Order: sequence, then C-alpha cells, then structure tokens
Amino acid sequence: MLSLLSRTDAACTEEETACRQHARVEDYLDHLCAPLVGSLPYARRQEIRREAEAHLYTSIEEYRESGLSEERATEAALQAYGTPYRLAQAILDTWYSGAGSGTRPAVYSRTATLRAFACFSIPTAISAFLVESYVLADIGLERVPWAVLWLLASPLLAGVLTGWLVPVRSARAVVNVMVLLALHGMVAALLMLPRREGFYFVLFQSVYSLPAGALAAFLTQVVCRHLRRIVFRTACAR
Amino acid sequence: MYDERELIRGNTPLIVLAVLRDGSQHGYAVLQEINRRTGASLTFKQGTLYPMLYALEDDGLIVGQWEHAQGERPRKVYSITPAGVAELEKRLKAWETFTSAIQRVIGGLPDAQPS
Repeated sequence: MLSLLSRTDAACTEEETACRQHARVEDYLDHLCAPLVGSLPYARRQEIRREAEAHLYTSIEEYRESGLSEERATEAALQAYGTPYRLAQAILDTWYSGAGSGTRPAVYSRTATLRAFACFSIPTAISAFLVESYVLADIGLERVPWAVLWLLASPLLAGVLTGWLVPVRSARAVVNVMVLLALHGMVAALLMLPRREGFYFVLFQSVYSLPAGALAAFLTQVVCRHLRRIVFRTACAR
Repeated sequence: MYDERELIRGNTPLIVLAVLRDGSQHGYAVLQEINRRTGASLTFKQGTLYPMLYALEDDGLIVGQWEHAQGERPRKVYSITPAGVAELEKRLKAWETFTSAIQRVIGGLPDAQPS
C-alpha cells in the first residue's frame, strides 16, 4: 500500500515538473513572440515559435542527459538560447532590412511612404491654399497670425502622426514624401502665385517643413518604440 | 575595445553557409556542428543563429523546409542554394584575403614588406 502511494506521488511529481517545465517554455516563447506582434504576420510568428520550441526541447533533453534535473535543464536551455526580448529585436531587424524591389522592406517602404503621404498631403494643400488666398487677396500672411501658426505647426503635427503610424524609418518616409510635395508645390506655386511668393513658399517647405516634419516623425517613432518597450517589460514583469 | 562578439556576428553567415554546404541541417544541428568544428570556442547565444538563418533565407542563399518525422517535433531543415554556394565562395575569398593581409601586418608572413 505504502509503495503504491509513493509510486503515485512520484508520478504526480513527475507530471507536475513536466507541466512546470512546459509552462516555463511557453512563457519564454510568449516573451519572444510578443514584440513581433504588429510587425510580423501571424503565420511567420507561429513558424518562429515552433522552431524555437523544437530547439529548446532538444536542448533541454541534452542538458538532462548530461545529468541536470528537469528544472535546471530547462533554465540552462533558456539561458543558452538568449534573452527573448533581444532575440525578438534581432528578428525584427532582419525582417525590416534587406534589398530588392520585390522584397518585404520595399513593400514596407511603399506602405510607409503612402502613410506619410496621407499625413502630409492635406496639411500641405491647406498651407498652399492659405498662402494663395492671402497673397492674392493682398492681405499678407503676417497679418493673419493663425495662418502663420498653421504653417509652422502643420508639418510638426503631420510628422507626429507619421511617426505614430510608421514604426520604422518614418523620417525617411517623410523625406520621400516632402521631396515630392516640394517639387509639386514648386510647379504649383510658380504657376499660381507671384514669382517672389512662390519662391518663398517652396523655400519654406524645403527649409522648414521637410526637416521639421522628418524630425517630428523620428522623435515620435523613438518615443512610441520606447513606450512599447515599457509596456512589454511591464507585461513581462507581471 | 576588442569585442569578440562583433567578430563572430560579422562572420556568422560565412560559418553557417560553410556548415550547410556539407549537408542540410536544422538550426540545432547547425549549432552543434559549429561547436564540434570549433571545439566550442565560438560562444554566442543559440537563439541569435535564427535571425541569421532568416536573413540568409530571405536573401535566397538557403531554403528551409519543415520535416515532420514520426514521434518527433517538426523541425525546419535548411539547405544551401546555388546562390548560397556562390556567396560562400565569394565570402571565403574575401576572408582569405583579409586574414592573409592581417597576417602580413602583424608579421606572421615572411613576405611582409617594410615601408
């Protein structure tokens, strides 16, 4: 009877240990895949998870064969595999780097540029309209403070919005878009405005709107990334 | 400051391609083979191999295929492609040129010419 009881206890403990080990590995894989959410498609994340899982269990088995307990073998395997957050960052770097028109980065770059275009085109059109209205009506922008405020603030707002919508390489997307808009603005301004005002408008776009927008986008992107990390670390700590 | 990890990181594609040239392997086996060949003298976190494998796969230098053996966990087995072999040859040549140049600089070879 006693031997039967102790055998059952042993089986329970073994099962419990296996459960704990499984939970520990699953937790690690969650931490590895969490930062990839929103950047990599689900199928790709699942593939990465399955591959890491297979690797970790093989590694655990090997540590166990070398004489470590189940728990210590699990910890050793996880430690040898690396910090999940850093590995996720490395995977993200791989995902967003590369070359070639048919590749993912090019697709990403197109999406980023389109988003930046959506953020910048409307404010730029409004600015052009304001300049045109006030110059042609001979009021002068300097006499309408809110219009000047709009001209100064709109690239910053558009940059912040772009930085929020484009998680990586937002400043580059802004530069791509602003160069196009500046060229378009140059033609439009020279056709529709007096030459001097047209020149000033294009100059303003090139000297202020482009760098201010790109800087705002970059800073917002950095802040957003930092916030995401804090949220992720808080989730990890729970 | 000397950082061995930088040296390893810069040459991991060469190491991985060289291992895969000798036969298709899954990630864990690639690591074991690297350890076997180097006597475990190259130390890096095992997980860092995978982003490198994904990058090589994206560049078309290796291809990965899932294998489902009975009673085992599915594994992704990587094989080198003809483009990968060509890249390996290119990297090997560059590596040889680099190491022989360094050898000359540090005086390991007799044909080093003083300026």
